[in-house]
Amino acid sequence: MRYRITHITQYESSEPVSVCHNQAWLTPRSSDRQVCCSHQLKICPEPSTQFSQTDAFGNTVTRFSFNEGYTSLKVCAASVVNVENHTGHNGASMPTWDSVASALRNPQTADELEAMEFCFDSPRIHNTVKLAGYARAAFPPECSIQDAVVDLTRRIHADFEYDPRATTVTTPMAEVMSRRKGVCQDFAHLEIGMLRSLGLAARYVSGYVRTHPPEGQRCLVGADASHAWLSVYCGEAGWIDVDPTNNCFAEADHIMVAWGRDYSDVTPLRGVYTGGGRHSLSVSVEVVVI
Amino acid sequence: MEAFSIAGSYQAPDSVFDELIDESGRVRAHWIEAMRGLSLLDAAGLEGRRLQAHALLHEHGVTFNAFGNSPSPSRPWKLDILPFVLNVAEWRELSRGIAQRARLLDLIARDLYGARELLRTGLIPPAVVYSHPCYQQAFRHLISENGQTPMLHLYGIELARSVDGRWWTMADRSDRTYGIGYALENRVVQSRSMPNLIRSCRVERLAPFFMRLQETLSGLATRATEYPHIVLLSDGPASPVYFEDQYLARYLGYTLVECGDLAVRNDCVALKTLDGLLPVDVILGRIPEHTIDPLELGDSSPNGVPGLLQAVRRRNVALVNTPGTGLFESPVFMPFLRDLCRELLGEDLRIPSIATWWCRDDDAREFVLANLQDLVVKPAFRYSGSDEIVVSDLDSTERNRLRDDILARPSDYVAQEKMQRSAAPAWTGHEIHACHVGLRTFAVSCDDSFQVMPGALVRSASDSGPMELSISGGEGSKDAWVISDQPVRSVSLLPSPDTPIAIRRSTSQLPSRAADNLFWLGRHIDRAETSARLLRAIAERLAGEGGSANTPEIPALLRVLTAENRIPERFVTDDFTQLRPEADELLTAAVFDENESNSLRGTITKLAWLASTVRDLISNDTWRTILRIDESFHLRVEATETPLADSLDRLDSVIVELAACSGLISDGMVRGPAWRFLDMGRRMERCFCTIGLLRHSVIRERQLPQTRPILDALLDVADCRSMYRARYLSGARLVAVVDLIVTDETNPRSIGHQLTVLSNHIDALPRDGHTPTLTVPQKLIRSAVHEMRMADLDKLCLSTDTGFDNMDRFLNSISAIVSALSDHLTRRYLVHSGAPRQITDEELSIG
Repeated sequence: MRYRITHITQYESSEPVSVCHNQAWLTPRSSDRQVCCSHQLKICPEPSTQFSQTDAFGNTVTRFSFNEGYTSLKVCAASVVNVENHTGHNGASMPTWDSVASALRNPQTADELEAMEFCFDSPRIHNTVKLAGYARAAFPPECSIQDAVVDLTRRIHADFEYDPRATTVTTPMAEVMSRRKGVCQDFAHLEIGMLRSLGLAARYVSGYVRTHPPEGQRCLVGADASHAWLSVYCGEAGWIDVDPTNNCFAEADHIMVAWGRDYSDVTPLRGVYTGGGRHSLSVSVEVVVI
Repeated sequence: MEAFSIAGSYQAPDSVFDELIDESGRVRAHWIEAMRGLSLLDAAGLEGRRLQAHALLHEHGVTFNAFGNSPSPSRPWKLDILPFVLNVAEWRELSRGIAQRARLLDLIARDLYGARELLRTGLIPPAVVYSHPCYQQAFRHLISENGQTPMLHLYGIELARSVDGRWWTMADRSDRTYGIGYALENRVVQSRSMPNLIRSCRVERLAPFFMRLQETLSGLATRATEYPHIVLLSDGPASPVYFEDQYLARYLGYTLVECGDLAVRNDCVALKTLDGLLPVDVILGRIPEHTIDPLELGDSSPNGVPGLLQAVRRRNVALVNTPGTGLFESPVFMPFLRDLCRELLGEDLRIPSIATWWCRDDDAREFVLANLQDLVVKPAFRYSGSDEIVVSDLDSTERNRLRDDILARPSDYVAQEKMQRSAAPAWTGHEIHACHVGLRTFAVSCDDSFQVMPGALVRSASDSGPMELSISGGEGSKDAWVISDQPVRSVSLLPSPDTPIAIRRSTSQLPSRAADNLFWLGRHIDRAETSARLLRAIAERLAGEGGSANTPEIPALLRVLTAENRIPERFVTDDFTQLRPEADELLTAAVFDENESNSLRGTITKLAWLASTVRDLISNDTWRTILRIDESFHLRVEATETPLADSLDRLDSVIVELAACSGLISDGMVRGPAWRFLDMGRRMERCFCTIGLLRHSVIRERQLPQTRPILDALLDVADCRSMYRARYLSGARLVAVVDLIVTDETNPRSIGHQLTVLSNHIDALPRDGHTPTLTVPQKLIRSAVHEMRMADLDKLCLSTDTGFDNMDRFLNSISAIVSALSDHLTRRYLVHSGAPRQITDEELSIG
């Protein structure tokens, strides 16, 4: 599947912003599952400085700053990405979750070492007893790791209500857990925390999802948003992406941008500014098949 | 054996190493010279030196946590005048070990933030690093991809000596190398109180170490410039080590800055000064590394300098230490250093770490739980030295709870052996006794290795057990003497008298924040003075007569107090006698109440805090005077029979001390920008105070006969009574009083005088470019001066049904102009941009 993605973030402020420093994770990374064919980051007005670098997880991060005042800032990320259609998950060759967890306690291979980085608490995800308790039910001993993860994803999807008004990005996980409401990012954080509490490795994936339009209708521009899901380390079977918001594997409909330990590692756009008075912010994401 | 008269009462416990006396009962060779010299002083002489040293410390204002946020007031620094003595051979051995450890930690840091080979080879368990809250993604690959660039430049180490005479590392200090300035200050004070002894004992000097530090820092500058601009980045007056920050900055000749003083433009760091932005080449960081950049470190760094990490990454500024090195302050690395040293340096670790077990490891945990009683338990990932649990101090319930905690979260804990620290002599005031010591010393990078400070900050405690591993831990501090085996070269950071020197009339650049604080310091000095005079005028009258009919000035003065929100409005009544003694209490509260920011006490607290932030810009005597005012006001007035009379005494003395402070400022401060901003603050405040005084007392008075006693009171508060008497030899008349305190520019207390002085200051401020026209502040002050000079006194003093309306309008207008002036100055000179704010797409719904 070949997609063209246009992600536009626009800030308007009542007074000039005098200085602004930003960092953006908006460049889709390539992996064995997808290839980023073209990418362009257009920033208006022209920043005083702009540099793209590779971060510690191999994502592309762009840092840019402004010294001249502006009242309107538009960041437009335009990408073309090819996503593989196949689902490589063969349930038969899956290791059990216990064996993966015990291998991660004493990592031997390069893959295990890399996965270790995603086993621990991170700035936005804290291991709690409640999380482990919830997850246990889906993880009977000797169960295939894929089956257990699919079951956990199904449980979260069933028990938690999708409600964009219920939380913000700063809502703590414990609150999401007790209110049973949230958005994609909350569900991804929750499931990651649960998996880590069992000794497994899970990473946060930021990206886009194509919403299937009803038959006969065109895809609505701006109807899609930034999306988030997670990736679980399954031993020799590699990493498997699951989307608890939609209760599915993240496959041909999911376009990955960056991964990290949680949202804070790969925030699409973050800035610190001075001046500006009141500001308003709007985001639109368009994902079309080409 | 030579007997030393003063050592008679010294007796070290058997269970620890004795620094002074060897196994055969003899004084160790390297102590003999020092003990001989100290004995010559005898007890009385020693006590004299101790008092002298304490006076010196107090004078320097050496405190720990001065004006911090902590509830305990600033704690004076304690120095024991008996030094800790080491022989040079032993010191050389130690310093080799310290340099080795610093090199080792540097190599580990370069690897962990770079290639991570040590995780691949298993020399460091990945869990140590990946679950470490201080291992920030933003610090990875920060200054070099391949690990070729040194990260650690300044290193501190905590040492203790065990009973067998071996030295052990208790903790590594690789982020906040606090204590380096206290070690220096201890030496400065010590050499002042016993200069001859220091010379005759051939004590190694500290100056070469600090010169090395200066060279290392200068060498890190990437800009091609002969004199790189180096700043010392402090956490500000709320920091417990603010004294040390100021002291070091002054000694090393660096500008003392806080995060708000720095700006990042085009990925370069600049200092905001009155003259604009000045490039910065090197930052000596004295703030925790996880708080330096709100952009990349997000939640943990609300203040910080936005964009600083990118400036470091692009090599436009050098930050010492490189962020990331702070990892080693936590004890969790200690168990692995021995093997790492062999692997990375091919050597044995010269100074071993204190035995440390990380409870995540199964064998270690088993051992810890079996021997819990004899161990000290600590959080594995936190700054070592905070939250120490000495298990033998716990009761059985607490011990069981600890055991459960360790079993529930083994990774979060380490346990360490309980060290019995060595004993050294200490002076109690009349005799020598034994105390237990810990050393903190420092190393600075120098080419491929490290140079170690030939001295240390020694902390002493009466107990041999665990001592808090912070520089404030223990009960006192000592200077450490390394006794050289050859004559000591005299070196100093000060240039030699023969060096030619270029004459300069300006000091280094004044940071905008410092100018801002000076401005407000000026305002608070005058506010305190006017308040004290006003309160004294009221207290005098209440304490004296207190009747209502013949003292119409009391309600008038109370109106002024009410306008400043010091007392509730219901006290403004003509029949005042009804409300006593409640009013007396309220008045006392207006003077002394600590919780009321509008009280005189509140003003003085703020004044002293502001002075502490610009301590390096005002004279020592000014600082001492302010300190004394603050201290004398800390003493509470207990409820007495005569609260008013007691308050009066205090008010009298505070007025005299504030006057002394004013005198010191006007006599002692160089007429540069620092003085200008302080003086502008004072002038503006005086305008506001005098205007407020007139507007709330006399202007609404309709019955003319009553105004005379009010005018007398006004002259008192404005400190113009004797001047008035000398001029008029008659009772107070409104026109004459208004002329004297408002329009007469020859009276230094008049509003007119303040405005003309302000006008001179504003003309002297730095300006942009060469615009020929007047700046906005120049126009504003000129219009105020003009209005003042054109005022018609008779018209101003014309009474109408509603009071003195003309005067009210006139004073309002002057007050509005001065306010606008204050706003303009703040915007133009003091704040280069507002407080930074964060934007994220957090308000958005995501997927």
